[in-house]
Amino acid sequence: MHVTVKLFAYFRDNRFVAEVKEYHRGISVGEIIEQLEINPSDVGITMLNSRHCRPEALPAEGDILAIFPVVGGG
Amino acid sequence: MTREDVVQRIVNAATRQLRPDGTSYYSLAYRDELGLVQETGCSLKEIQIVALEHDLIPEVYIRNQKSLSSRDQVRLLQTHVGIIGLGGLGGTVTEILARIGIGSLTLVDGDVFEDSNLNRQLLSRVDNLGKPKADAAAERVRAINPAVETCVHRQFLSAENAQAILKDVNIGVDCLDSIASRFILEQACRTRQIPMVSAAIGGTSGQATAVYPEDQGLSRIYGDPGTASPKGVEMMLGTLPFAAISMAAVECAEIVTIALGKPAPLRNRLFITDLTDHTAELIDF
Repeated sequence: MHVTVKLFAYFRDNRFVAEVKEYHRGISVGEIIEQLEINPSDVGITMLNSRHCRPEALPAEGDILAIFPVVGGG
Repeated sequence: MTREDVVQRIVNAATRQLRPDGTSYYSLAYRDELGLVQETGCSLKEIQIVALEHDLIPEVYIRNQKSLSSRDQVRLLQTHVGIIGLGGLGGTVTEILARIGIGSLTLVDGDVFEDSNLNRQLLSRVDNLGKPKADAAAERVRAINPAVETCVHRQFLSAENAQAILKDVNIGVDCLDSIASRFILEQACRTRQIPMVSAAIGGTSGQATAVYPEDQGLSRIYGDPGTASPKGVEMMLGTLPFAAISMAAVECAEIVTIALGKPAPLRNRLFITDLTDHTAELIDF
């Protein structure tokens, strides 16, 4: 199945801004993050189709997944 | 002096002016407001409120109209906002809220300025390094809009002092720089039953949300307070001035909307932006 993955801030470095990726059905958001070699503790928010989602969420064909880092500065 | 006398003196001081769109209004010049304070013994804020209630517009607020009505301006003058953290976000929030005419500001920061603040913190200057941020904030408010009353706390917010600091505050603003202290403020606002507007920055990115007492709030963004990372991407990427200033502006827009009694657009939502490529997302929780 195809999932559009969008990365934000430094997650884009040496990766991409947005790409359509092919994954096996049943893969979780957390597993996609792992495959992208992003440290899970650096991840703040994950979003499926503009809605907040948890790492256990299972994307479906055509979904858009966005991954944001933890931001805490002021 | 009776209230009627005060009103009459304000009416006498007002002059008819035209807005850029050609519509007319009665204007009260800042110089005349100061004279009225002397004559009546009222505070500058009281003079402005009475004037606005009679649709006589303090000229210092004329460019807030007609986005804001005279009635809206009175509501802002009667609002008390607590700005917690007076660094990159809080310095700009102070500047904007004073200029738009939020009537009372509680200014909270236990820190002093250091060299590394100069890239983004509008209140920091080479001649106030080593000086308390809270004092600089109060000075800036006095210099911009003396009608705004300030309550200065040269201390960091803690679970112990939060209730006393937020005592008279209607809206809390999270301008803090650590995730742990954001949770302390959120809990304090919940206990006080007041809304909180929160923003955070890191590198060229920023995010903002609004949290009401009954909302799940920051744990949706940072996870459980007990296990959340203490800091984020800013540890590695620093904090750039345009990220700080733009997210402070987003916070202020939300504060004004809440102060006017309208639904908060960022409630149960997170606005995230990256100013490197001007992308933005609005996430529904």
